Amino acid sequence: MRYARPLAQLIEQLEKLPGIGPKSAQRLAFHILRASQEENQRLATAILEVKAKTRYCQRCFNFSEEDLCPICQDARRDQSVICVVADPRDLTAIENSGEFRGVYHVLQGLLSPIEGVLPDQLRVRELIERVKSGTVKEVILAMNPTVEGDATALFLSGELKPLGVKVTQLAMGLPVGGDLDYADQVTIARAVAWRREI
Amino acid sequence: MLDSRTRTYNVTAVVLRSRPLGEKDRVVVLFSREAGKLDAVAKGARQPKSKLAAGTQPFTLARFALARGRTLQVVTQCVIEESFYALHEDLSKIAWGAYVLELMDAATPPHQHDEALFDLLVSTLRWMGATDDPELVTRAFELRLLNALGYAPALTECAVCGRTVSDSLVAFSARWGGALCAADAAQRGHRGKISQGTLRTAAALSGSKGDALQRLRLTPQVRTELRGLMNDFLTQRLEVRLKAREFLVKVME
Ligand SMILES: [Zn+2]
Ligand SMILES: [Zn+2]
Repeated sequence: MRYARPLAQLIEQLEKLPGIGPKSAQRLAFHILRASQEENQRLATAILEVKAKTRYCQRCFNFSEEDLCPICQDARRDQSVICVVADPRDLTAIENSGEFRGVYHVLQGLLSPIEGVLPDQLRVRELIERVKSGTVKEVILAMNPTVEGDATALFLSGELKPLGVKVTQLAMGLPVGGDLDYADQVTIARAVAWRREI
Repeated sequence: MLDSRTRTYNVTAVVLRSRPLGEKDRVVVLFSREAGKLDAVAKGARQPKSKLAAGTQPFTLARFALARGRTLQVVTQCVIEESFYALHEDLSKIAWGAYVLELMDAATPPHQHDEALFDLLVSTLRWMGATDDPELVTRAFELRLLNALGYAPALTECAVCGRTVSDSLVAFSARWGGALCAADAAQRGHRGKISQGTLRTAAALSGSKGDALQRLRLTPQVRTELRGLMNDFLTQRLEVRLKAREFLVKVME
């Protein structure tokens, strides 16, 4: 069926969003059409402002509204422990666990010999500067267990260790709910190498 | 999605490349024993609990079940045979290994069955895992790959006149296809010199099986000359610019 032009336009834009198929786009569009003008104004403003008002934290390169993000500004966080992650979504995942009380450094990607991503395309230099500034005692590398994640962690540990800082890596083990049977050799080898006493 | 004529088949293959597709999936380029190089979509492989997640990482040797779709093939199952764990633990092995995978991808046409090439790739990755000189392993791979593709450089005879007296060979020209004797080098205005040791090492690397070379050590001169020689020759023959080479030059040297 043909939609009225404004509705068709909205559906077309919504379909471009990740994970939104034509059916979902149609459902969302009808929802927006039924919503009050005030509600839609708030949605439209939020969409416009997210781009205009979000920048990178000058210290950790997480998304931030101000020069420093709320985590870097928080006096209760331990500024001497930096957890290095590839992107803000990984930061959110660690933050949601509630286990970590230090601060972060967002690399904005991972090194990739295969795709040709080099250190100068990431926030590597800025991390090294932070560590050189002297207040950092430990750097925790929290990269995905992929070839790119491994390459990045190995590269950073080679750059950071000579600076006299303690460099650790997140323990990699078996996923919760996963099966020992189905785990690959890399996962099992690491789970064994990094085992701990209980 | 798959049409009603879907057929599934199994291959043993090494993952050459793995690229994210959308939010959840991956596209992998495989080099298989049974069907040569092919690509396939691994649905859900970016989700950590997916049974395809580990199997679709580069370097992995696995048994894959593939289904032929209308446009793309789909990986339906995979059982890992070898993860090459040692390659994940050393940055230089990751970098040289990535170069091997990229060169394999760049130099081979799709859907061309070649079991010898598959065996070369697997034995190279195994050797790479065990070695403390991944560059040497890579040089052997390059030379054997060129042999297999029919592009082997002349190393024990002059590429122009065919003279085989080894101490008469003084230069190497990618353009002329290999080693040159003094007379031909002079006649063609080829200035660069190459040592006997480098030519002999290259000949040894291109011929014998890995085991015989486990204890081979490269002198700094031979290493440098081999690096230049192979780079010139591959650029000339295959006309590819490898991203992994840039990584090696900028990050590892
Ligand atoms: Zn911050
Ligand atoms: Zn000659």
